[in-house]
Amino acid sequence: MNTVSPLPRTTADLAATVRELLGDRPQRELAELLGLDASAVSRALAGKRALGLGEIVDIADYLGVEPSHLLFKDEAIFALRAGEGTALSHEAERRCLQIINDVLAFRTVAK
Amino acid sequence: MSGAAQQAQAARARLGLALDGPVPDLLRAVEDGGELAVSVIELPDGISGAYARREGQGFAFLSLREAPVRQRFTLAHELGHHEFKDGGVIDASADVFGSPTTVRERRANAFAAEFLVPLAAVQRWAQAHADPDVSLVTVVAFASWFRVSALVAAYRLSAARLMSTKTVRGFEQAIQDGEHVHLARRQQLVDLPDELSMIHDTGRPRMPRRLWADAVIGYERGLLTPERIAQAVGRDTVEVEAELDALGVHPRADEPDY
Repeated sequence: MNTVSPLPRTTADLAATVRELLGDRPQRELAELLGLDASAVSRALAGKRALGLGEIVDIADYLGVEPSHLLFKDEAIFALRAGEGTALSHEAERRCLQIINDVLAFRTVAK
Repeated sequence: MSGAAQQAQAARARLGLALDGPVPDLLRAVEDGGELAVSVIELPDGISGAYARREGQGFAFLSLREAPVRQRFTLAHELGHHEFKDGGVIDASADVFGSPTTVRERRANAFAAEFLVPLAAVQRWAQAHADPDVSLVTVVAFASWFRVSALVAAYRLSAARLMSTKTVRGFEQAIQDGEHVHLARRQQLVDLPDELSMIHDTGRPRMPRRLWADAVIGYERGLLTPERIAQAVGRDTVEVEAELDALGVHPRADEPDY
């Protein structure tokens, strides 16, 4: 798992992620699960109504994912510049990420 | 003066470096100042370095394969990314040492040039050398003094108007042909040692100093094993155990369980 400083999702981004994971499953199931009426769920999935933390946990359980997957988005550690082809090799990128994680983990341990 | 040059001067002041001379030990200065956690590791050919920032901590990665003069400039370049709060970036050698195509890379290079060789320091050097000859010998001596490559030296002498652009263009081919190396040997100009040159001599990867310091504390608290530390620092467990033992560091028994 990537443990380094994940970015929180916006309401719109969270809604889009839930919609994607929901797929063909009927929204009414979600409405029943959350104890909401259909229009509230519809607005939430359109990104027009913010979801509470408890609702996000329930939705994650329903969708079979970790709540953190809905709350945070993975950020690429290195921005790849278009057209310049300077992506680190997979092994080097993995090593850089490992070093970053170790530095932050050991810093926490030493506090 | 460009914004990048001003930012470089401010960074030098913050790190306790005067503007009128070379940086004695760039890696030491950068890590002591807490600016960056620096690793020197194997990177693919064509990549000189990388920069990332996580949880407020900046990380610089340098290619173990490159010579210390190039590593110094790359490290100053990564410090530039950190200063300007750039996002994570992979730095191709062509961007650091060639002709960068983006504003961000040009800005980082301008920062690096002024950070390593401030124009005020160039003027001071010129005064001390009483109108130095406009020659490749001068470029080589200047490069050795400031611990930078001959090309960077030539460009900074040009920026300080001590050499014309046309003259520098003439030197570029000679430098590419390695003539400056021969001249340095003739003058017995040696690369003064610093932490990066010592790492280069070992040929072994180097993890951020902070990692080891925190590992020692974690081990002392009984929260990290020698195996875990060895994995993080890329060394043998036996070697790590021996070093911890030599430091007189042992896990404390009274540390509560977490």
